Amino acid sequence: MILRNAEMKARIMRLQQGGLLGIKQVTLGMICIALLILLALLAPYLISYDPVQVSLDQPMQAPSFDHPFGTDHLGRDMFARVLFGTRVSLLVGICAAALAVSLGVLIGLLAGYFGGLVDSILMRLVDTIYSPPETILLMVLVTMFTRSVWTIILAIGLTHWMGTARLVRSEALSIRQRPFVESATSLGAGDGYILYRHIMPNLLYIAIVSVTLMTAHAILTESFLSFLGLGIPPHLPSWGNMLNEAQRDIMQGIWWTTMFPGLMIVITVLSINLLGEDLKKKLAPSRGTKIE
Amino acid sequence: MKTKFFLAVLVVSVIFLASLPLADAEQTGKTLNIALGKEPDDLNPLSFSGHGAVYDSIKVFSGLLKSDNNLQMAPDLAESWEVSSDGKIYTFHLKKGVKWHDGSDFTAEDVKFTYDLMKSGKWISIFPTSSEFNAIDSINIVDPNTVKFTLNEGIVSFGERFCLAILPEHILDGQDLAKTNFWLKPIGTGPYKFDSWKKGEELVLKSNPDFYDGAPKIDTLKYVFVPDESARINLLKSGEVDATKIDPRSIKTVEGTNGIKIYSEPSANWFALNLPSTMWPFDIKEVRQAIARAINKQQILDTIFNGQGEIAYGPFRKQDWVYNPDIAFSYDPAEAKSLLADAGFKDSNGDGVLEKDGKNLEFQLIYPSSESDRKDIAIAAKTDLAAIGIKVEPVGKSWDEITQELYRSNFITAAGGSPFDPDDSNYHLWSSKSIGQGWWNPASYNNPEVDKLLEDGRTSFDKEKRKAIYQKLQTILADDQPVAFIVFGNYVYALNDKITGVVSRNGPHGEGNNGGINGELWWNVEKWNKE
Amino acid sequence: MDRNLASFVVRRVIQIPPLLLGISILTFLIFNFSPVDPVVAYLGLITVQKMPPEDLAKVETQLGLDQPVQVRYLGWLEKILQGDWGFSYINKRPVMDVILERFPATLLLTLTGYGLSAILALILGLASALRAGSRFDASLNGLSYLLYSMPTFLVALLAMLIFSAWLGWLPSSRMVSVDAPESFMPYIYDRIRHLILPASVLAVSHMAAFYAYFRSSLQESMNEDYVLTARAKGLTERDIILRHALRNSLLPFITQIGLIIPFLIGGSVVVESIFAWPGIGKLAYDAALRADYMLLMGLTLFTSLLVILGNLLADVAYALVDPRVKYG
Repeated sequence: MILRNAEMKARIMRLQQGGLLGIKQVTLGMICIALLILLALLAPYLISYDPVQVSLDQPMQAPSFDHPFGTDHLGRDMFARVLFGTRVSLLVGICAAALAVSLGVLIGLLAGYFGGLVDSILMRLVDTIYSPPETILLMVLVTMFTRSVWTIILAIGLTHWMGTARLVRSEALSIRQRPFVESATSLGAGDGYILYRHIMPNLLYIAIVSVTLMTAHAILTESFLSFLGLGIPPHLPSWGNMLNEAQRDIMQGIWWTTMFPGLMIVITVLSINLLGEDLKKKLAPSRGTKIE
Repeated sequence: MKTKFFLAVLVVSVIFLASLPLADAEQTGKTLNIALGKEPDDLNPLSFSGHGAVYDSIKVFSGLLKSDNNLQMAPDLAESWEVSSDGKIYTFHLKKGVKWHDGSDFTAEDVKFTYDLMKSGKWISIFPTSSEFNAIDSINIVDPNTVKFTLNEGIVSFGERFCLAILPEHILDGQDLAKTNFWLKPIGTGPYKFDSWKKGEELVLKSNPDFYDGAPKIDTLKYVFVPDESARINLLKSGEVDATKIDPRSIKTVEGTNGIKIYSEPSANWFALNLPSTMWPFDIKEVRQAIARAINKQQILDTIFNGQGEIAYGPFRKQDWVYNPDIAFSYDPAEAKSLLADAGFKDSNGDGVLEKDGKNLEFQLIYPSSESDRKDIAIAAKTDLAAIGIKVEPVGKSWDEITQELYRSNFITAAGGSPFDPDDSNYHLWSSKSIGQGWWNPASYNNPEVDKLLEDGRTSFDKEKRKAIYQKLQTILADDQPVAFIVFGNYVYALNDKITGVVSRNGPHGEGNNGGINGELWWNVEKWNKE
Repeated sequence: MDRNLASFVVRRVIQIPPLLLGISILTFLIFNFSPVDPVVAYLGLITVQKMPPEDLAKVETQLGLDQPVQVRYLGWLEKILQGDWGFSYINKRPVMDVILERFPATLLLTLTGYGLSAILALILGLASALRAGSRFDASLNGLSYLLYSMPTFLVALLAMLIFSAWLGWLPSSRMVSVDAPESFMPYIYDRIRHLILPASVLAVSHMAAFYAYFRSSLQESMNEDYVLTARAKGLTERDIILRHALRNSLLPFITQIGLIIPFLIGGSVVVESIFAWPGIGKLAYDAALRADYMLLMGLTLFTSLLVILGNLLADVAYALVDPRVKYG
């Protein structure tokens, strides 16, 4: 079963270009994401039932033509809820990721470019926030403030910027020492100019890949927080919330309240991850830097 | 090839080994394992918020009296007692030879000590409900076996207060009750002794061989704390626990399983929407009445409570002796709409929400986030009320947050109720004297006629007269709707069918579907047996 | 001990106190500036509700709430250093006691879980590399992506459903059976049975990252020059992988393991909650639900401390193992 060298290399190349089904993984991922975003945006127009409206006379109905994903224990249409859950999850995911990465880029940039005392202080800050385990820090933040969509975004964003900061800092450090930057400085270019024209563009790829992968991670985080009842307020449709309420159902053979939200989480996160991984490969082929 | 094979062998052997049946534990005597969803913070008999805590003590303690199969008072530490005709003097004759779990003698001093503690109000942070004992004027030890209580006024229901757990004077006298370890390792006079408590996991009680009423047949009582309901049900099905409380909707998960019996115990626990009459729009009577008629109670009972319970129009259930059958009214959204129209509400801007004087008819309905049944009621209410033009936004808050905001925004899905004397809990819920006192009278209801009825009800001793009074109370409440009663929910338990001695009673408001450590179906667990 | 190593260790150890100070400041600030009433934090909401105002005022002075932030911080710090970490109102016991009591359970779970995870990743990563490019490799890769995209609680729920509810092979909650066996071997066996499901859930959920890293690291090693030499010498692919690439990839893999130290200590809130495993994660969850601020603060400090120590140990271990590490 151990192949000859050349054959093996050829297989690896095919794998990197083609993937499991012979379709490029990025294409599949991109299609899924595009679809999800579309669904999220068009959600209000695609549903025939209000996701929050209760129909107590029709609880726990199996999927049918009328209710493609069935109804939950209060008779709410699962299709509408899952669709609206897409909005919530994507919103939280993207915003939290954007917040985390922006913060990370800002701090990493300042630390890497200015160096010295600024660097020391900022990196101490990073180390400090890095010390408590993520889940503990999240529990603390979530307790501090009344729960709403925005506080969740804030909590997730504030606990995930550190990795990006470190990455950006080392990039900024290495770029700053490059010859063309030194010559620009000697020619009289100010800090701002150098930051803008030379350093930022090189950081763009880090930012893009980070945001993508961070979005996936943020969606997973939001879903587990909501599942535990510490995330999105329970009556708003969020996949995590739905799974929380569905726990009782599965023991009675009611599979649709678990399967659809669960599937959506997996599909969404998977496609974003695939996209992120491929972006990583495409944008930084020769780098070994690990982007979280 | 080899790696795959190796992996496969490893996985299979692990799973195989794991599924081998367990060797039986050595048992000395019978054990009863009860799975609870919520662990008590400590075993202070009075720190529980549930009102029933007074009546059914934790099994480590016992009181002068206890409640029996018919919710009547029966002798416990007191073997007999007399009440003066005006209800102000209670004389208790204590049983002789009772010992505390540490061997010391139980005396009248302990009784006086306990009631003095309650009455002084000094430890109100430790005993939140002790304010009810303010009605005691003095406690006299007549002789070593007789204690006489003199009350300020003759309150009929006060007799039930004597179920209070008696605390040991020889241990607690002089101690700082806020810092003592006693609540985590209590010594009492009850049928079970405290054995051990592995916090977060299990609490073990062992039977008291010297218990004055006969040692319990079941030697070891083990409470296991498992927050997840499916996990509790799994433990029950696998035989690891013998009893647990379940959400009525989980009946289907359990029924039909061999060896398990389901008990659906009626409870006096009503669920209602609290409509505080001090805040707009609930100061308008028609709004409250409209809300009461717009909620589809039958559907809520059928779907959210799986049919276990009955519709509530007032604080008393059909089986209660003061129940008034004439107060029922039907689900009628059309009438609700016309009531609102009569009160001057109109939807002038066509957004589906009624307005008056420029204000929208909308409010936030708060539910405790840990109670899934109340959450579902709030969500259902949203739909029902939207149909008549009221906009409701359900908001979940933790119990602690709710307590903090108790009088600022009190639109909550409330629950309460007691199967004991009709004066119990109802006095505090509807009397204007109780406004602002902790959890009492959350609707800030202030009706002088009701106040008078409540006073009369608690001080008259004629049963017929009392019945008439409480029936009138129900009529007024049904008309006024300070809270919109919805349903009474049953308490559902799943037990190992080898258990005998279980007596089902109308249960009081308690710990919800998690099950509490006292009261509940195991109010008489010391009389149970297991084959 | 090597001079360089010694100075490296000393340098790292010196960095610890300021870090701890920073964490203590951060923790204190978060709780101080949050919309939370410190008296409530100290006593718990229900108690505060019932207390007469004079007693409340007394508590306020006792907590020093009338003093400026810095003074309060120093007072708090002093207590912490003396071992008084506060009183957990939901447990009715000192915070330190509660945390120390529950921590071993978490350690047991996470060490087993992540240990299994690493072993699994090693085995599967190796298998993948040996069959690079094949269907096996591709499907394993796909599966790992799938698992990486599944939230841990979903994996936990499915595992519980399949192995506990349907097959009845393994228990679904707690650390031991309710009527735990007394004799030694059956007791150990009971404990293992209860550990398998939650640990496996952790392992399977987190294996993906290890696996991907290890696999790509192996592949990179395969492209190194020495491999070419080895091939020229006539060694089989299998020998090359097992003897050379593996050894060189193992080292960076061990650094990866260092990254999971925070997870080892923070435990998994989700897994512990679902399986009623009485550890730190579940403690934090209960504290969050019921707003026990003293406990949360204590947990933050405690876990940070351990993470810092753990990182130090990992760095030292790594430095010991790999002489190429720059001590700078």
